[in-house]
Amino acid sequence: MGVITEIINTISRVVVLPTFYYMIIMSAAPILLAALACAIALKANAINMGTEGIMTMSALVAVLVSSSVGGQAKGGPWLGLVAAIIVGAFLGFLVSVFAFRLKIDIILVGIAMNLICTGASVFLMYVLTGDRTTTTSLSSGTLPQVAIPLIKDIPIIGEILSGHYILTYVAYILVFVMSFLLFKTKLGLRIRAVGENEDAAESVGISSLHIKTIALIISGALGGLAGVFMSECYLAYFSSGLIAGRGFVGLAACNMGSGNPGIIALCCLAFGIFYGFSNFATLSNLSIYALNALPYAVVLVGVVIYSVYTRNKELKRLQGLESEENLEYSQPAK
Amino acid sequence: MENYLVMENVTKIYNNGIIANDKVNFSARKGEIHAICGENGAGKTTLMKMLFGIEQPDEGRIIIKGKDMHLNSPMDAIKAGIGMVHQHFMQVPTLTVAENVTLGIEPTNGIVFDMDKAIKMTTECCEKYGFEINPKAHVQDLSVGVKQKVEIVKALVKGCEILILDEPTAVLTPQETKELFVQLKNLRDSGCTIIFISHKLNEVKELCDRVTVIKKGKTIGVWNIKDVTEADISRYMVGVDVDLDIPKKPAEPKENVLVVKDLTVYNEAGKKKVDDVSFSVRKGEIVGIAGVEGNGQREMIDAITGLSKYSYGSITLMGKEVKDMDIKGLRTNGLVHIPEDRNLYGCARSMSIRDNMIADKITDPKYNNGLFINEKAIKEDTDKWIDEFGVLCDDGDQLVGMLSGGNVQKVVVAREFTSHSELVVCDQPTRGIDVGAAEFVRERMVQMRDQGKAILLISADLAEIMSLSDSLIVMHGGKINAFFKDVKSLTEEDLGFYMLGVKHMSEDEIRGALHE
Ligand SMILES: Nc1ncnc2c1ncn2[C@@H]1O[C@H](COP(=O)(O)OP(=O)(O)O)[C@@H](O)[C@H]1O
Ligand SMILES: [Mg+2]
Repeated sequence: MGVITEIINTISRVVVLPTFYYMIIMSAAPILLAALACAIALKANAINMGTEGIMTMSALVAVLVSSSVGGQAKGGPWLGLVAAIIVGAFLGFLVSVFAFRLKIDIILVGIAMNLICTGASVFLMYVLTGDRTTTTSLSSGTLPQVAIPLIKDIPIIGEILSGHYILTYVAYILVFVMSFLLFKTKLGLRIRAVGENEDAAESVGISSLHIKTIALIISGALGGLAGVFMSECYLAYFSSGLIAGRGFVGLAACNMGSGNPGIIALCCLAFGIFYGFSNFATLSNLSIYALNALPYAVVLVGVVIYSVYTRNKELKRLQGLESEENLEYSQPAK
Repeated sequence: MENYLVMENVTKIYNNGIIANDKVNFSARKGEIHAICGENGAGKTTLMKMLFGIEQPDEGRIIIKGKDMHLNSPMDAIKAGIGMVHQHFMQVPTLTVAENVTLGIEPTNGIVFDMDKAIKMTTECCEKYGFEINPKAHVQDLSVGVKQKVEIVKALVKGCEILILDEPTAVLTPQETKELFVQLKNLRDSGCTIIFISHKLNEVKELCDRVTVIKKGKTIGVWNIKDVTEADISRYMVGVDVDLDIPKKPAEPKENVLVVKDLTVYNEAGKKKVDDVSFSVRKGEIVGIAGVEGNGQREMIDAITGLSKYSYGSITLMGKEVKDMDIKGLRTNGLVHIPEDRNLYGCARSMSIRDNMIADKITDPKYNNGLFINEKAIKEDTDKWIDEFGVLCDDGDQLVGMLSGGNVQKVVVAREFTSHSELVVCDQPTRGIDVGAAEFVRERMVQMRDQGKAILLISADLAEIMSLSDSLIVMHGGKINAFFKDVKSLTEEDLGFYMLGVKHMSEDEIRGALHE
């Protein structure tokens, strides 16, 4: 009983704070970027399990490049951003090479990517900074925060919507860009065609290898962006465990939205609520560990609900098909 | 008239060693409908895949309008004016008709896909050739007949002059077929060359101008359709060497092994697929099950072999209810099963012949002392079986995936027939395998019967099911529609009537299927 009262107390204390909503928007952004990375790959039926690893590696690269050119004062974070996107895109390309040219199961390639990137990032960090856990010794800096004119002056709303890191805004804008890319452009049409029926695409002269490779490169680049968010916005340094499963949470959100950017964004915001809560542990008597675990527990529940839902939908669809079949069979056979 | 397209001495050998086409010659003129006839597996699809650039010939030439062509991909073929409607539709279900039709040649506005233009292209093409299709409809919502039209429009919109149709009527209703024929004739009259693959001879006779017959990968000949009758074509296709006169004594059935009583099976979607079916199979007899695909045979066999559960009624094997038995339980009680899909359920393609043959017997103390596997005994016995069942291979360590279809099936048969058995379920046991292997499998089935096993045979090959079965059950709409105690007097035509539900037997006659 005590726990429930405490939960209700915490919630009531937190939901009145504008910073809580600010935190939701911010916490959802890296997950959203990761989810969009997974989405374009999923639509091409080239599931990118390696997003977590790609995020890790590019987060580190961003910090290293930024500090090596002189950090904040010399525009380092921007160069770091570019470098991370390039590294991400390259890792995405590597996934496609292993999966489609060397014909290794794409799920295994993704898992290997995660393991290698996690290991390699710690190794690199140690070699270059002498520290095994964080890069706080480097001064890499952060990307700028943006105050939106007019909106920033509105009370409460201004506090919630304005003053985010630039990549937060980019993440939400990318939802629309991705929708446009997938559903309005020729490339998007081909990606969806290849993803759904590779043979059909091949039979009209589309190279599915080509399309899947492009999708994975874009996916990798987005994963790179998500990584930069963590090391140049969320924090101002890289640490082992920085990504903390956000790549996988993004993958979950992507699947719950079936790769459709709009729904994905909603799922990410929903997960963001719980990430938001975990930032307010000090306002609560609940265990900080429980609060930190909360987002992941919610993702798990979400995925279960989602799969039950899709199963039912699939059954309904099957039933629909069956009745169609009946129509055909009931034609007089003679 | 000059030949527009010539395929000369084309040979195709697949990786698994199957010679699908052996010096095939084929030619077509401008503005004709040219039929290619041949049995299942004759190599018709393979020939067309080479024309469409999906497969490349190992030998021979393809000449279009007098020019030697090298078709390395469908793109090359499309550029050469060839369009193909595949046996299985090549469509993206969630996309619209217009998107499917223009896929590969998408109209664009910068990088943006120009939907309006795509719709216009589709509509124009449909109007030109007299097809009625809503370009904005999603392909997944269309009926099979309309989907087929989409496939044809897909080819036409790319400006094809040679249109290949691979068994286009297999999925159509009679009305849809009639409509398709009108449109194909219009197309021909507008100058298009149409290659029409079918083994429905009445359709060929009605629609086509000439016919080329292919048998076992070889060209038998080409005729003007006026000069041949359906019976002629049929004779060319089948020849005289497929004689299914299997030497077989009259059956001496004994007691019941499998008893199916009032069996009703619902599928996953909750639809009744098997409806109150009762029959039994006795020791020493082969009971055949015939029926047009999709009339409940699949679900019934899955229930009997433990691959799926059933809702009402009972199935007993050697007097024991099988409802709660797992596959292992079923097998210990004497069920062996040659499944329809040998590559998915029948064997492990990435394992050796030996491992596949021994898979169900590995717990036998003869091969396994509880700790170690007795390699020597396994090798001895599997070598014996490879020999006995005539599996063509280098040795028992060869992977099953490397074998040809007929030899894979022999491995499956060897495993199942050397297992302890009372009831042998054979599901399409000779589908898609070579004649020699098929004959062998059939002979072994009769041999098993003579040893006193009960055999349940499902086959889409009417000649096979009529010559092998001692008694025959016909299924239609999930029910038993006919039961023939003795198959000898049954004609193929009559069987067709019962399979299609044109004729029905009385309840009393059907009850004969259950021996009590
Ligand atoms: N991709 C493939 N790999 C190996 N064998 C094949 C392949 N496709 C077809 N075959 C074999 O080639 C033979 C001819 O097949 P196919 O051309 O499909 O015949 P048809 O269309 O006349 O029924 C068959 O024995 C079939 O099993
Ligand atoms: Mg075929």
